[in-house]
Amino acid sequence: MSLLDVRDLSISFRTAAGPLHVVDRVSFSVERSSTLAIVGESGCGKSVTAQSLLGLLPPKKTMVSGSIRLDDRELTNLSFERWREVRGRKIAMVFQDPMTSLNPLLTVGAQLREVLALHQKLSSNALGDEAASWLSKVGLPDPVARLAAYPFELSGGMRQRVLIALALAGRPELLVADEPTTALDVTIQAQILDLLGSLQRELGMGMVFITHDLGVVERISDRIAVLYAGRVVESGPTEQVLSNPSHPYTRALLDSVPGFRPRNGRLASIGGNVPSPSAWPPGCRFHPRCPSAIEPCSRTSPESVVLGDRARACHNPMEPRA
Amino acid sequence: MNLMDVKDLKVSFPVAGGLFGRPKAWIRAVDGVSLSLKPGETLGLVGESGCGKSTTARAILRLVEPDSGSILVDGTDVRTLPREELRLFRRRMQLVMQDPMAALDPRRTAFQAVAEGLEVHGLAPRSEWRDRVRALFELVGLSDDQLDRHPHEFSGGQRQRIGIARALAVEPKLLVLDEPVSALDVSVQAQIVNLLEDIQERTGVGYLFVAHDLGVVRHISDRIAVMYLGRIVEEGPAEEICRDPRHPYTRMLLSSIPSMSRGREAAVPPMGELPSPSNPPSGCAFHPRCPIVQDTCKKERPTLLESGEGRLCACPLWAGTAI
Repeated sequence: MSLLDVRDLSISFRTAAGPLHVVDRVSFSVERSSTLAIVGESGCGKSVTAQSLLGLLPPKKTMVSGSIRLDDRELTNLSFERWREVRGRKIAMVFQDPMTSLNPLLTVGAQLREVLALHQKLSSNALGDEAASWLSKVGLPDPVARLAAYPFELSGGMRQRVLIALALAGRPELLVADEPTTALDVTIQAQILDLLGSLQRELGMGMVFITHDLGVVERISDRIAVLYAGRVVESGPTEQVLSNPSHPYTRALLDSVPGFRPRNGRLASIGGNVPSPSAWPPGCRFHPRCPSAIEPCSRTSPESVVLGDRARACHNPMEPRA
Repeated sequence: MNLMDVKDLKVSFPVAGGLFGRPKAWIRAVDGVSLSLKPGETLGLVGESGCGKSTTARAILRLVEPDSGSILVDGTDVRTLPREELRLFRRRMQLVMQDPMAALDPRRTAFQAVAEGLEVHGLAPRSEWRDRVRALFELVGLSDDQLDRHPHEFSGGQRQRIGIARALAVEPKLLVLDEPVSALDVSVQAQIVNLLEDIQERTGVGYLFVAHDLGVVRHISDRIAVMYLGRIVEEGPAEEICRDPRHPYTRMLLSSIPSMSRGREAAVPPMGELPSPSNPPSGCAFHPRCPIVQDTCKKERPTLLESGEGRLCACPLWAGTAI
């Protein structure tokens, strides 16, 4: 049984102009000690999906249907009180911007002690020791002194390390990381990715990693789900999907990243723009930009076809690349 | 003749503080940078945030005043130009910024934004503006019926096209592009990169391309200069820098980029962070993060020396040191 099993997840926002369907029947699963990368461009629904996994979407403004099962427990119908038992202990989240996610008025130590005290009964001294040990676990130099530091005294990379410590302090079984390295410089990004990998090996947690960067996907994930306009267009083991994409969108995305493939003249760009949820195209939502669109693409939405370990939703999938 | 020649450029910023905000100290953001660019070529300037790459670009356009150094653009000494002449000379050098939403006036239409340069520099009678702008729109891949729309009606990629059209309206010789595709989705990034390459081919404009993304810079640049804490640490032909990086910092940078580091994952494991320019390390500024640091690195500041055909490297240890 998978650690996390998401089936037919649909999310819509209530707006004055009627419901806005931002995520449409998305399914994926995550195994223990493994990482699923959810990849897509802005507006594809990846962050909303991540937030729904922790019940963070405002209930009055959103409608969520489908099933999210963590450890065989259904999360979509949890009450506010029940959610408190799940968040932090079972499932935790790291956000993109480490400055806005930390309380600027409290020291790093105070924030970490607060989280630790929620999860275990410890004396004040023991809490301090535990907090320092978490800071050292996430690679902050001089952890005891850092407990007294305020967020503004830390660099972006160090703040992200603190956030990771905060997320993992409840020893969750699943970590959801929403673009955790996007705001960081590449040398810092590489360090944070290494850190997440080694903590995962140590703690055995599953991870959902949201990103738009295919290079990051390749480095960190075991499996990948490619999202386009609110739908999963392709999923499978990362190496197979990246070396042999079967959905034209995945291939176009790969070809448009400079440096990902050896330089050979022009970049293969995808024409047009990412559509907005208020104007999803009919049929396959990628068809207006798709180089291999055929007749049914503009009319009927392709169903997801499972082939062994992989799945794709395309009327005219790519032949394997030689 | 080179289109751009920058020699020993230095820029400092005051650290505000004290009574009445008198500067307490000065931070040297750019510390002796020399760069050159041939007409129709692209020079990529890369480095982590805070390394001084944007300040260098802005100082070349004299949007910030340099402390010292010389800046020659198209044969004119930009550094000593008086105000009014500088204003007229800006026709020759233009800037495209990262965030096209912030760079455009939300109340003015795309046509007005692009035509502004024609008006300021008196390049065409008012009656011809519309045709000129229409031609520029075609060049950057926008359609006629979008002329009278406001910035909020465009997508990010389209707004960047307007920013490029606006810069090109005055027919500059040098275009400084400061992170022009960083805010865009990857699929749109590729469109803009291709567009920039097409425009260069058609107009022969030279690009100073400032970015942190080595993948994009490698693709678009003829030459690459790598900057660390206010100084150039390595420079050379783009492909050679990426294939055979010599400075340990360049190696660290390349092995940090997931998509460019395949097969040499552990070449230089990234460690540490960029130090603050207000308190730079002694000797070589990179020494606290350097995997091959020697005692001399902590004391002596290395100079940028020739390290082969058309290549420069500011590390005396690059030769014969296996990393």
